[in-house]
Amino acid sequence: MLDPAHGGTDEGAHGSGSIVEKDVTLVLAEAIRARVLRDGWQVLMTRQGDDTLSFAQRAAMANAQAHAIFLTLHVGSSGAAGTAYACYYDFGQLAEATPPVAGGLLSWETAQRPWEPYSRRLAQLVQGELATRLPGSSEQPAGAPLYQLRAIDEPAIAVELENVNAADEGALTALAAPLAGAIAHALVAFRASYAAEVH
Amino acid sequence: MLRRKAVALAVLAVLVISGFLYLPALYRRVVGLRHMPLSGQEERRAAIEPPISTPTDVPSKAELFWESKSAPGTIIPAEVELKLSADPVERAKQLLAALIAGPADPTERTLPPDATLEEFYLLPEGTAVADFSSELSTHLPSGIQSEEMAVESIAGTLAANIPDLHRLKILIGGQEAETLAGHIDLTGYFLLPPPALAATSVSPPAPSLPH
Repeated sequence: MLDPAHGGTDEGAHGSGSIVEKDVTLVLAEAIRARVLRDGWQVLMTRQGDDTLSFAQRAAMANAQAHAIFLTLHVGSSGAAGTAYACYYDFGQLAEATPPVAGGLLSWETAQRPWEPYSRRLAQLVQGELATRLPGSSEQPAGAPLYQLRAIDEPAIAVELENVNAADEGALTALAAPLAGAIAHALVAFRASYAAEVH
Repeated sequence: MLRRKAVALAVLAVLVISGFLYLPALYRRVVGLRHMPLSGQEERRAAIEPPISTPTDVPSKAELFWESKSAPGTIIPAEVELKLSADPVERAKQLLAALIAGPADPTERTLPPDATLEEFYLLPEGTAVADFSSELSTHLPSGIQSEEMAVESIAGTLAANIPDLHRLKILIGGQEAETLAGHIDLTGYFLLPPPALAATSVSPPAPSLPH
């Protein structure tokens, strides 16, 4: 499940030029979709146009798919230009979390918790690829309590490309190919171990 | 009676003349203030956030966390000389005011310069509650990384300089917010010290009363 962040009335970050985050994330998602289809994945997108979607709507779409992997795409506004990093929800940064709901039900707010080890591994694989394809990117992924990911009931990461203050949109979309390649390679590596452990 | 009137008139005349003599100097000061090189953000801060001073303030070496120049996207402690109160609540206010005021190099800044700390509470069992103005959300550079650095710099600075803090709640405008600026989850309590910074900070010094 590919999620181009923002959209519709939520425009995301605005660059110093005319770049708007919601437009770039959609271009990136389409490039990644085209690339990973070649590896035999079935790919769904939370939006394919300029739609306004809440975090809950995006999570509901993702959670409706069995055995899915969720990847949301963002563009930052402060990091080193041309770099990217992967981020997973790190529950370890919080002092406490909503306790599991009794009766076998899953808490919406912490649906991501059991998937954290898988999400972390996926983020590590993606970050490793990003470090080789987008020079200057860190070799280690970031762990952060990312609100959007907490309700995703499957492995889930965010990838943020830097940054929206590029001279023009072309400078960012030119990074779509290496970004897509990094994600595609990481997904293939992740699939092998994930499928063996979970399914 | 006549003499009293004369004295009163004389005093009044002296006051009026003094006023006229002082007027040009007063005018020059007003004009000078108008042309002081303060940014709008600094003026706002000066107006609503006077320096926090308490009777127990002592010059102290504080660790404030800002963005690393050599490793952008990460934060590191910087040692700064501050007058800090022995009272942990006032101390926290002083620290966070200094954190917002920012480092000498503005590129290392982690919080918007016009954000303000509205209130700070210390609850039992080491729970800190920091309530910031809405500018912390609205004027922060957009992005996961910048929001994570903002939270880590607040949490790291508090944990490094105030003993016995175990968790932190960040409020915006007096209320719980879902996110800081669209990304980082503010509905929970952050662990103190932040696990990512635990290795970079020394144990917080216990505040002491002046001798």
